[in-house]
Amino acid sequence: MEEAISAHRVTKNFGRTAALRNVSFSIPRGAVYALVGENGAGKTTLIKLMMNILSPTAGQITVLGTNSHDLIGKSFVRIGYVSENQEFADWTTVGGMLNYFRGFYPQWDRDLERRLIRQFDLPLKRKLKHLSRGVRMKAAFVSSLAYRPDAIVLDEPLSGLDPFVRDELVQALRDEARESTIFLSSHDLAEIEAFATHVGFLEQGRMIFSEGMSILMERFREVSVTLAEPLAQNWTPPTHWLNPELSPQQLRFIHKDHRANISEEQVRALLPTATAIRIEPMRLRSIFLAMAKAAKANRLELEVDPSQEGAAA
Amino acid sequence: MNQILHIFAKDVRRFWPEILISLGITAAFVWAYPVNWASVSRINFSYADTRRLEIVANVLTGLVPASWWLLITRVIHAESLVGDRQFWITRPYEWPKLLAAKALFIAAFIYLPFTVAQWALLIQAGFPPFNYLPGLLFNLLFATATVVVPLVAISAVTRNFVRMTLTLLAILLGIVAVAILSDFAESSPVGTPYGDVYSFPLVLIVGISAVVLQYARRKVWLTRALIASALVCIAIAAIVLPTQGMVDAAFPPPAGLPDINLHLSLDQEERKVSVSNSEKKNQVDVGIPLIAEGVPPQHMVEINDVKASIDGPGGLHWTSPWHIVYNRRFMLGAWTSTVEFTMPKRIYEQFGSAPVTLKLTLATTETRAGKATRMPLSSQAFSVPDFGVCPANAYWATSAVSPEMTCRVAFNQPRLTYVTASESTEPCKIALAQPQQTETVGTWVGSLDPGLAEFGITSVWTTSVNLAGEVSYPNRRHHVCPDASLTFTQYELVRRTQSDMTIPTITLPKLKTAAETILLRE
Repeated sequence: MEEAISAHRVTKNFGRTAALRNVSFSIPRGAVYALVGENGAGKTTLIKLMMNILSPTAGQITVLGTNSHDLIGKSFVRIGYVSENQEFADWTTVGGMLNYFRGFYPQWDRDLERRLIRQFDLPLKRKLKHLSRGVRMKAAFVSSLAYRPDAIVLDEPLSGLDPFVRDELVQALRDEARESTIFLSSHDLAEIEAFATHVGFLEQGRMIFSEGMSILMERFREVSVTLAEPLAQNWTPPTHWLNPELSPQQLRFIHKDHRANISEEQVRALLPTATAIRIEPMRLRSIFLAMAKAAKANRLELEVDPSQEGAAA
Repeated sequence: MNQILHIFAKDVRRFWPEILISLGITAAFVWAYPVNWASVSRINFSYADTRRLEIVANVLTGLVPASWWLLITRVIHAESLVGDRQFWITRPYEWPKLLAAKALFIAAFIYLPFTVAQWALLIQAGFPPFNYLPGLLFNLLFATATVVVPLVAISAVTRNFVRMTLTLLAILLGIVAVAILSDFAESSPVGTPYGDVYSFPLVLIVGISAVVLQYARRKVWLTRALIASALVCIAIAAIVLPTQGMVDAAFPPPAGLPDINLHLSLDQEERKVSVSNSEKKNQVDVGIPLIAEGVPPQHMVEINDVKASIDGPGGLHWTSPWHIVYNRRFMLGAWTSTVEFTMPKRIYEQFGSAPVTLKLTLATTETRAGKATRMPLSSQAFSVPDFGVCPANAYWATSAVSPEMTCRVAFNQPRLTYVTASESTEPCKIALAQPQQTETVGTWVGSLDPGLAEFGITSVWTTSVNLAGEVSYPNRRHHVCPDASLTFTQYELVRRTQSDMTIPTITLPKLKTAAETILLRE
């Protein structure tokens, strides 16, 4: 499938601090890609590199077939960008802002604009500086969706918003940006689990994984094993068993390469004294927490598996 | 083009209060400024009102560029080029169009009102504006290089109004520091016809490059470095001026040509060499009294700069840098004058009271009389071709004690002109009743190299024609009465060169102590 956005071994240093290290990923057209990671993981830096707000120290990013370094002027006719940190034209009204932006986009859809204004109940005559955070974000959404961009990049668009506003914004993306590729960074894992088709996990500037949501959900399992006798003291789990917790006759871990039928056989082969094995699917939130915990504990230097990258694409 | 107009229209909608303030200030300036011309009197304005209006006019002269500062800063920062959170950087702005929109705004609300104001002032002052289009354009170029481009460049590398203002203040403080430092430097100001020929194009080229670079790439630190390097270059040039080279370029040594038509000799009869503490720390000002003669009829020779060399006993030698000399102009006949130079007090004292040899190297300009215009002095304003408009003072008819005309000139000082007037020895009332013996008194006005324009918010300058002259006439009063004959003679350049004058034996006077100086004054 054709790529909408891709990154190849992208590194960004601020002085001696590495904000991103060898980050690679690929997003097919039409995908909804959720970038997750803790605060300071490098999500905003990556988005700024994608939007040519910053330049990479090494590597390259391609957005809609254009090297991000060349994303200026007319390129943004096809790209929408909304950020929680963006400075707005606060001096003008919502209507004034939309009027102004309309002049920049030949393909601006006036009907869609009106529909979104109604849906969000936007106060057109109120100045942006007098709006609440939620209403400002709604106005930003309208100004970035109304020209039906091919790619929409959203940096923490939902953070700090009440659930009602979050639902409204997600619904707008679902309904009105169906043909766009959406890239969003978020902490709201429950919201994106139901919405995203692909997910990437950034940890301390490294992309721990980047793949299709269904593959990811299929791949991770929480495994509980009851043992007939305690394990030997020098027993070490394989590397794809994350966060092992061992009580004398009970072992719990996260299997990050689960495959139906094979995983149980694997467990039985490695733990011959196992009397019961329970394998349960995981929510995105649990996967995210498990990966974060594992990365913190081991500072794993996992690169994106090219085969998984291909799967995501 | 659509995007340019779209951004321009947005800026106009957004900044209409600032635009109105700027236009209001410019309009008020055009209304008030002519008070500086003596003959333009306002109906029902008392003397006190006129003085107040003069103050207002002077304040407005400063407020006009201040309003430009406000407008430029606001409009550039509307799409700030510093930072990574501005809404516009991820919108389809094309940088050449954005820059063009800003240029259009500046043209519409700075250049156009400025041009109209200059036009209106020319008309008010009695100058036909179409005759002064080159000056008008040159003044716009000056405004671009000295105000507009620097303000745009600094706005382009600052995030907001406060930071822009602080940066501007820092640069102004830097200029003050350079001025102070240049006082300590070995070099002194010199007078050359070219002045500072490098700073103007440097500011223009670097400023425009910085603006284009910043709009095209938004490389803030690179652009800041470019601007800072230009400022450092100008500062270094100001502190370490290559004065010898500048004077040699402007006043080439004679190299085989006949000497200049000026003979200088030490005036030993009535005056003595003088020495006093200089305004500069640990320096003394030495004055050499001279007699100047040998200038042919219809010629004038001017000393522009001087350099002194002193050779004392025991091989003691000292040479000064070039010093500027003001108003040393000599015509036919014998003239007394003094040429001054500054030297370190320590070195002066080393020469002591022993006889020394003094060599003065003089940068001189020789001119000759050209076109002359004669006309009677009128009590009404009168226009002098190639000079300006000269209004007569209303009180001349009765009490012309110090006859002085404040003439209006367009864009610049006039070409170097010698103005003479027939002067009565009796007060005008008597002189008008019964014609008296008259003498001629004259004064110099203008510059040999006035250029097309001198940068100013106004297009009309005033120049004082003081017929009391530069030469003092003790115990005598001047009376230049109505209908006196005035002659305006323009002088043309013959050549600029250097000449030497050596005084084989001269004794430098003892420098008085501070106590002695006070005692003498008492």
